[in-house]
Amino acid sequence: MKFLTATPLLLLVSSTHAFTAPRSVQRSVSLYAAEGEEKAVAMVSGEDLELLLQNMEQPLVVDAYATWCGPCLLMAPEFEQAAQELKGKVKFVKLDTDQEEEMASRLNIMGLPTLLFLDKYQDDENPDARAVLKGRIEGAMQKKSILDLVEHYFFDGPAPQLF
Amino acid sequence: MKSTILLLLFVESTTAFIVSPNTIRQSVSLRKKYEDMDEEEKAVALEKATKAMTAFTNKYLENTCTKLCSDKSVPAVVIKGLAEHKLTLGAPLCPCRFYDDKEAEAKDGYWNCPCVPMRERHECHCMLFLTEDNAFVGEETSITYEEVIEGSNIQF
Repeated sequence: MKFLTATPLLLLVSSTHAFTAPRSVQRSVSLYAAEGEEKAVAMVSGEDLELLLQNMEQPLVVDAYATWCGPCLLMAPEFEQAAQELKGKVKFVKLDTDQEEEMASRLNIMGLPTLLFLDKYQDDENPDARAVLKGRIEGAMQKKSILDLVEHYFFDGPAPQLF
Repeated sequence: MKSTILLLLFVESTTAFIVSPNTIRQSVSLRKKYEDMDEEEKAVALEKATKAMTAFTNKYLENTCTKLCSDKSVPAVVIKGLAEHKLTLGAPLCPCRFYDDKEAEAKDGYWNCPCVPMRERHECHCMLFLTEDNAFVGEETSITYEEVIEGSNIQF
């Protein structure tokens, strides 16, 4: 992964669940964008992701998921909502780890869902590097937590208290 | 005479744990058989496996005094995933993880449901078995097959 580099900027965060929510969960947002609204989250293949990482125009959040992963399902509408709010500012994509095993293995995906926060990287010492992994987190998350993490990793926001 | 009887009992009890070559061949052939099934046969096999995993889930909820997620589509999807893995891998491998080698993991057993973290610490990453302190725990302690089918019929 020549375009990913371990640097002092690399933040590795591993966690489990970071949700806080009321006891009764209401699916307030459909899994997809509202009717008539274009989806903000794009499904990408391994090749698509490679191209994105080589041509980083804006920060990128990757949701690595699988079809039969329950927490992935729970997080899907939250991820879409976060993507809608940050449209044009941050790119949100989903990677099906069942379909894209090679990329999932390269990204060292283990627990699902895993969110990866990647930013543009430029360094004279590593001219081939295009992206840097700013952080990663496992477990389903609410929209607010996702937004807080985006703010922290990409826009110098405070480290969120997730658990 | 007594020692002979004791010896026979000992041999019988130990050989109970030894899987005969015929059983191994049968397990392997069953797994191969699923791959060779036509669509209708696969559907029947999947229904059977899903019912089995639903029954297992309900029993294990009771045994561990855990509860289901308040959003029942979460356990529904997980149960479906467990059933799929049971059919394709021969074991209910956790569907909420990525594996470089699923078959090796299924043989290893650590992530076969109920996985070691669940057995040791009641930690279920899939949110299938939830403890009272989990923010998403519901009140229900059982799920029907029909609920599993309905809840898992969701497209990402």
